[in-house]
Amino acid sequence: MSEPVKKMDDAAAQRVARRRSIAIAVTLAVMVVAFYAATLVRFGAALSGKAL
Amino acid sequence: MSVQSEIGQADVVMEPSIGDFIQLMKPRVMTLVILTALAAMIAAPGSLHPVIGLIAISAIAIGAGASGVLNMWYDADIDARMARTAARPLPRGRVTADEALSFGTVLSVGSVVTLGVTVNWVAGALLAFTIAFYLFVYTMWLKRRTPHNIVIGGAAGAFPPMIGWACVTGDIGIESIILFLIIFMWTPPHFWALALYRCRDYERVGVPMLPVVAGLPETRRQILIYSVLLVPLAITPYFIGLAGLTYLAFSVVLGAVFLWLAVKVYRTTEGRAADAVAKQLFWFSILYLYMLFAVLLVEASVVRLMA
Repeated sequence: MSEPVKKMDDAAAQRVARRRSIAIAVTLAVMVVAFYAATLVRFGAALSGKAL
Repeated sequence: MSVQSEIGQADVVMEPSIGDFIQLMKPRVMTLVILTALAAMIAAPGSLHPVIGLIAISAIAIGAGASGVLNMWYDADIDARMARTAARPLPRGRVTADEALSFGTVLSVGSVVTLGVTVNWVAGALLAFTIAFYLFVYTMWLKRRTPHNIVIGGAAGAFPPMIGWACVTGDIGIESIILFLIIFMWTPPHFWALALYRCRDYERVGVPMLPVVAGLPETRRQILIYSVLLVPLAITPYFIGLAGLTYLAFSVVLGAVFLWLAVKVYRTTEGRAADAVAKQLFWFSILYLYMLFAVLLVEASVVRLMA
């Protein structure tokens, strides 16, 4: 609290909300990729031999 | 939680940056967590697919970061009044308490679920326990109540090698318990060395660190006792077959320096020299732990490559 702080205006609040949405999207995308990669690694060989 | 609310929910908040959120995760602590968990993963018997290994180490690091975020969320009131922590994002009003709490919670759940689903649930459960222990046992319960806060709370920082080991073996072996104990015994002399020269800071905010409650001479004595216990413990991985001769040599030499500094701290009791020696021990203790686990990691990697 040592520095003076300013009140966040609407435009700044919108920017923060937008950045938060992007961060959530990126996090979810990373988790999807991680789960997909892990599934391929764990079951890849077994799945490739199965008939559809 | 009233003070956190006062700090974090005020309507005079600055726009946070990505850097503020990274700072909330205590990146320096995260690097040590990554190193200790990775060393245990490489040294553990068995193997992990590199992709799974990468996911595991990322989840452990993010889980550690989540603990840091939740710790800063809860401690925002005392952080604001301590010189060392006053510039953190919450006390400066760059991040609100609600944002920090949400961020920490999402990271905690995300990291535990990711580790549990993609690696195994023993590791996932250990990570969940670590985060819960750090937040509820250390931060909320012990930190402001007892001078033994970092002795017991230090366990939270000691779990990462155990989690790394569990990722590979799906179990908790005696080897991972030894690695746990090394960090567990290292934590008190490390933090008490810091508390020796930051004593007034802790006193002002009412955190009962050992120098505040028991005095500086008793703290110096305790540092020496824990250091004497730590050094032989740090050599143990060689004798249980977890590490080789390189590790033995490094742990003996580094341990000797650690002990020498602990004795210096014990003997130097007056003026600025006392603070200087405590600082020396604090910074060396960080180097000590980094080096021990780095050598363990490199040695285990070389053994794997040559096998």
